[in-house]
Amino acid sequence: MKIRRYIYTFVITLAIFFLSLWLSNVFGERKIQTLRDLENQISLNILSVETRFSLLQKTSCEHITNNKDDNAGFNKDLNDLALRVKSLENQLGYYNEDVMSLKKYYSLLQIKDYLLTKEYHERCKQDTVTVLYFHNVDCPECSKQSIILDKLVEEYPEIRVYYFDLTTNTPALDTLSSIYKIQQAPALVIDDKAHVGYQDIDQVKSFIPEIKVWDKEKLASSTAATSTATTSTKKTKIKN
Amino acid sequence: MMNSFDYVYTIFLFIAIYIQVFFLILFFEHTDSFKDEPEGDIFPLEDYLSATFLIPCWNEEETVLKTIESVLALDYPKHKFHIIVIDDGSTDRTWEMLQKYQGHPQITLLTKENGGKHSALNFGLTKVTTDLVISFDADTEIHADALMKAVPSFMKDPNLMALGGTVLISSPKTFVQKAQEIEYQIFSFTKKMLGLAQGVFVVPGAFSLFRREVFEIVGGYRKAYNLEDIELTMRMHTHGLKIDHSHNAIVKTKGPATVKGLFKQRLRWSHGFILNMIEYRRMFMNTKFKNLGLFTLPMSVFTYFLLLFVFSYSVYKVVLSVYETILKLYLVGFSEFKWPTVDFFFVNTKAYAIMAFFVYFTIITSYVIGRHISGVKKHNFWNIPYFIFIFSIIAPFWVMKSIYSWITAKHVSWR
Repeated sequence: MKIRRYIYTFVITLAIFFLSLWLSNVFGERKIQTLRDLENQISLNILSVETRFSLLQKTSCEHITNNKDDNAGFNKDLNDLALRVKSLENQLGYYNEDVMSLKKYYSLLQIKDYLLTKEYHERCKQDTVTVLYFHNVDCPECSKQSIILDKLVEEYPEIRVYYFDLTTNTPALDTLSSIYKIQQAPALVIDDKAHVGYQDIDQVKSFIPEIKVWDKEKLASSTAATSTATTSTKKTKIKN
Repeated sequence: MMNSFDYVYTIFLFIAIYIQVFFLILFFEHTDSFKDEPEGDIFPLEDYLSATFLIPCWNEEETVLKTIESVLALDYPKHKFHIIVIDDGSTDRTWEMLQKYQGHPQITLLTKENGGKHSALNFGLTKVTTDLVISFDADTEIHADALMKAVPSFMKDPNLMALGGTVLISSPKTFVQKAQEIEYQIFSFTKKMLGLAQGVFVVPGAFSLFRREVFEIVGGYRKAYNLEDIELTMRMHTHGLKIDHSHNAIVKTKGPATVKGLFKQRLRWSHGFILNMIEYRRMFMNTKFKNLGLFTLPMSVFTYFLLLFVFSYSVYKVVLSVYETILKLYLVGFSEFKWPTVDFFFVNTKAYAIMAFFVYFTIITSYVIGRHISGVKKHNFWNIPYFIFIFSIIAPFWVMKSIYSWITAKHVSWR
C-alpha cells in the first residue's frame, strides 16, 4: 500500500475543490456584471424617458409611446431584472455585498420608473395601474402575496408591480415607505392608499376599480368574437 | 454565501471526487498492465493448472444447459478442467435435464436436499481434486478464452490465491437490463482498480477462481446472509490471502429483466452487505488491511450514504415544488404553464453544483475505461439515462428497505 497515493489523491481532490470554488466565483462575477449592464441600460432608458418628459409641454403623448405598443411601464426590462436579481440572491446569498448593491440600484430604478409611469398615466390618460409591493426576506406571508401579484400581472398586463425589499436600506426607499407609513411586510400601495398585511386575490382586485372596466371590455370583445363566430358558422350552414 | 445544506453537500461531493480520483490515479499508475500479453506463449499447454467448475443450481432448468455448454466449449485443454453440477434440491426439471450429461467424462452430477447455495458449494468442494476451484453461476455463460486468460495469473504469481472474473450483462433487452449493462461496465473498471490496489471487495460468485488450498486455510462457504461471496472474500482477507481481479476473463449473465426482479436481487445484496459489513467492522479504517480497510470498505459504505443523501435531497426538492404548485392552485387557481427559461444566468453555479458536475464526469470516464479494458465494442452510451434512473431513483428504496429490515430485525433479537 502506498500512503503517497492517498496524499496525491487528496491534493488532486483539493485542487478540484478549489477549481470549483474559483469557477463558481468566475460565473458569479459574470452574472453580477450582466446585471450591472442591465441596470445601466435601464437607467439610460429612464433618463431618456425623463428627458422626453421634460420636453412634453412641446410634444404629444404619442411621441413618447413611439414604438412602444405596451402601456405597462416604460421598462419591460425591469421584470427581467427582477427575475435575475432573485436568482442571484439564491445563488450568491441574500447578504452578499454585490447582490445588496445591485438591489439598492434596482430599487432606485423602480422608484424612478414608478414616478415616470405615474406621471405618464396622469398626463396622457393611460390605463396603467401601479402597485407598490413591500416585502421582506423573513416574512412568511410574502411568498403567498407574490404568487397573487404574479397572477394579477399575468391576467392584466396593464398592472405594473414594483417590488421593494424593506431590508435594502436606501434613503429613497426609506422616504417612499415613510410616505405611506409602511413598517412591516407584506404591504401594498395602490392608488396612493396603503394596505398592510396579506391580501388575497379578491381583496387586491377590489382595490383596483379599473379591473371591472377591463373585465367588461374583455367580456364585450369575447362575446363579439363568439357572435362573429356564430354568424360565420351560420353562413357556412347556409352555404351547405 | 453558503447555507448548512451546501456544506454537507460539498463534503459528500468532496469524498465522492476523492474516490473517483483514487481510481483514476490507480489506473494511470498501471496503464501497462492492460496491454494484451501473448499469455498462451509463455507456458506450454501441459503446464496449465487443472480446474473444477462448481455450478450450484436451484430451479435453473431454463439456463443450466446453456451454461454447461458454454463451459464445455472453453478453449482450454479438455483433460485440464472438470465440471461439478450440484443440484440443490430443485423442485423443477433441473435434475431431469441434467441427466443428459450422465456419464460425460468432464462432468460430475450431484444432488442433495435443498440447503442453500453455500451448502451446495461446500458439497461440491468435497469432490474437488484439481489445482483450482471455480465458482460459477448456473445462469452465466463464459467467454471461450476466459480460462486461458485467467489461469496464467496463478502460474506467474505463486502467492495469488483467488482471482475474481469480470461479469458483464449479455444482450440486454429491457431498460432494467440496459441499466445494469452500464453498471457492470463501470464495475469492470472499479473492480480491476481494487484488484491492483490489493483491496478486492468481492470475488463474484458468478465467476471466480481459487486455489484449492484456500478452502483448507479459511474453511468452506458460509450462509453469510445469502451473500456468501462477500463473506468468503472478507475471510480470505483476514487470513492475508492475496486476491486479484481479472479484467479480461469475462462471463456474461442476463441480470433481472424487471424492476421487481432487480429490486429483489438488490435487496438481498444490500441486506447481506449491511450484515456482513457489521460482522467485519473491525476491518474498517484498519491499517492492517491496507487499501481494503482504508479505501474499499469505507468507500462501499459511503456510496450507500451518498445514495441516500442525494435521494432525500431530490425528494425534498420535489415535495417543495409540489407544495408550491398546490399553494398556487389554492391561492389563484390555474395559470398558464410556462416553460423554464433557457439562460445560463439561471443555471446553478454554486461550488457544489460544479463539483457534482466533476463527479458525473468521472463516472462517465470510469464507464468508458471499463468498456475499454474489457474489450466491449458495442455502443450503449444512450443507455446511461436508464442507469441514472435505476440507480438514483429505485436504488435508494432497496437500500432504505434493507436498512429498515436490519433495524427491525435487530429490535426483535433484543427482546
